[in-house]
Amino acid sequence: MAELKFSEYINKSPTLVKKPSMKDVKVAFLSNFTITGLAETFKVLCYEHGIFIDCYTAPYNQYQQEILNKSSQLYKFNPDIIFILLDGEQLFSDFYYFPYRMSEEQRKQFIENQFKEIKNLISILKENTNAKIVINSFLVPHYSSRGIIENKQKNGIRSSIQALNSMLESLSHKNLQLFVFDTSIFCSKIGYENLVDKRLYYYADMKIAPKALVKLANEYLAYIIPLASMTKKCIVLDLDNTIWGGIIGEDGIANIKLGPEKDGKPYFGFQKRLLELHERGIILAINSRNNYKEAIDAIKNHKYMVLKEEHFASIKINWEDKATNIREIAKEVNIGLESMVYIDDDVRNREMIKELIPEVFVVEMPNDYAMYPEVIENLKMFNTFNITSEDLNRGKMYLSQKKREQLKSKVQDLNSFIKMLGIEIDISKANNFTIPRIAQLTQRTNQFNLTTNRYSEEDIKKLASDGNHLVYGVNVKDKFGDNGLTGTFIINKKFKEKWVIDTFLLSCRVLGRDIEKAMLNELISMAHKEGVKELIGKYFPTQKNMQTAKFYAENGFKHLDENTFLCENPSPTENIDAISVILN
Amino acid sequence: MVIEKVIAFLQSDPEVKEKWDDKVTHDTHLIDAGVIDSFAIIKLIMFLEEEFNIKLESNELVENNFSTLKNIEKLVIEKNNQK
Repeated sequence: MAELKFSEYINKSPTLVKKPSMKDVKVAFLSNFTITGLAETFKVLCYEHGIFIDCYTAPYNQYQQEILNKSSQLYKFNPDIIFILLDGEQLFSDFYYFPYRMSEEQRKQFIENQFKEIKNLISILKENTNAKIVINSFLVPHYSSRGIIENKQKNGIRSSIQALNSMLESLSHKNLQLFVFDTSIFCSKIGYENLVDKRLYYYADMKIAPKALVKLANEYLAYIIPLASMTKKCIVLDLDNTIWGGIIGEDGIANIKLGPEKDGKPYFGFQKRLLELHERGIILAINSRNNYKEAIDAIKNHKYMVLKEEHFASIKINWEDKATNIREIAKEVNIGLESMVYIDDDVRNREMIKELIPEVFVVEMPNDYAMYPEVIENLKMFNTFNITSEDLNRGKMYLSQKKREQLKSKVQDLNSFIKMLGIEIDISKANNFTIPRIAQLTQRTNQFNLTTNRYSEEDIKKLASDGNHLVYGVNVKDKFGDNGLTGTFIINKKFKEKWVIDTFLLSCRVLGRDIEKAMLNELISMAHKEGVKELIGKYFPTQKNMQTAKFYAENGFKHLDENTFLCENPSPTENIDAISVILN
Repeated sequence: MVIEKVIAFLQSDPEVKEKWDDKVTHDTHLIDAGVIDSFAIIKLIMFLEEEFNIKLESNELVENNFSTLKNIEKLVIEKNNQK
């Protein structure tokens, strides 16, 4: 997906037609300067990533009215995400040009007042919409009449604006809906010369040049990926000339390029970037055509391998074709192909995967390996709105998963396998610690998910406290380790004697161990204790949750209509003796 | 050639296309006739620069240069001759 010219984006945007497979996202832009073309560009970029966005750009410099007026177009549009772009020169007026007419104390006061005003607007937005709010931080001006002693001024113009940006960031720590887009980092990435086009800056009040708007749209994409639940979970890596330089089978372990010097350095850096992703919860896997012995020897014994054998959840080093291997890896780590990213230096392999498994995101690789670390830095598809403790422990969890699989291959039948695992499940009401993860599970779980209702953190918070719902998180552990919070169910109990199961899901990581049955048993006994007469289960089919189609029917529910199953006078059934359940 | 390309670009915007009727000629004042607005002009400026590989100066960013199809063509030809 090469970058187009600004006018080409403008041209292309109105011609886009939504494909059935595409996710919908509604995006609003508010600004105090001209951002003509941003919406069009963004629409094309999102389209290339399989997301169809509907955009609303508020009229020029009307952001305050749009936020304050409860019946404004902004609220009627009902966006999923709102980008706010404010320019300091416009907003701060005299302070921007004559900061030193004010005293040190007045400057401090001025910035605090500016912050209060923005904070107020954000809290009004928060009251009126559940949309994510992204505000651009203010660009710190280059020029100061104080020249080289600018940063010796107390509360000088630059430190004042930096302070305002810090206040916004602190606000976003407390406000889960709010995100600050760092304009200075963006500027340092693309360069100030590219950020502004002074002709259009003055002629059209375009504070960001058209070409820079294209780059900005590209950065904004990072917010849309998690919003559309398109965050990727796994990177599949080739070995030769990808994670090291050279071909292990020809060059040998002593001659491949990898390490802290010269031409080994880019690969060394590349691996470090990958390791950090692994540590934040991205699954790594190997897909390489090689002799297993030579390649695994290099992974285990090369002095400068940053990525070790234990960092890979699946290792396919063989002479199979790469597409077959990718399908095998998906099965082994139990995730969908659409959650996978493939990295390979060989363009033929990349084209083959694109052709054979279009669901997999294939990363374009530059010819020059010095650019490899940057390839990882530029990937947007691992973005999430928060990181949970499950993310941070995922690597360990997959390691214990490998051990479980080894045990499974040794025992004869499923029941004895489950017994040997010594599974303990802990079912607890949602609390502040578990709410982010419960929301994440509703957004990410595709296979064992009966209704696929997607909820944000704010949604879960509301459900857990509105008195009409019960929200439970399910923690699973066994003798190999803690799988963390991997299941959840949400009950709508508005009609006292009739409970509706709004959400019932289990992460694919812990499937095939009868945990779903133990969960349902527990839910049924809860209903029994509360005197529920009718327990309703819902099933909404998607392309991925077929395995749950018969779940309610197999567990004693009557099939009422297409999507509805009924359990009359629910009463507890026999517990699964291999699984111990703790209810909190 | 210039005029055809400019028409095609301007009409790619559905709002412009809607207002573009048979009466529009090469001499129609596009801004007064309400066919294009200031936002369309910004997009047009970028299109002209990218398509014809020219760079306009601030003193050329005046409404008159973009008011009619003929004026737009004249601007592009002049800039090309300066190269």
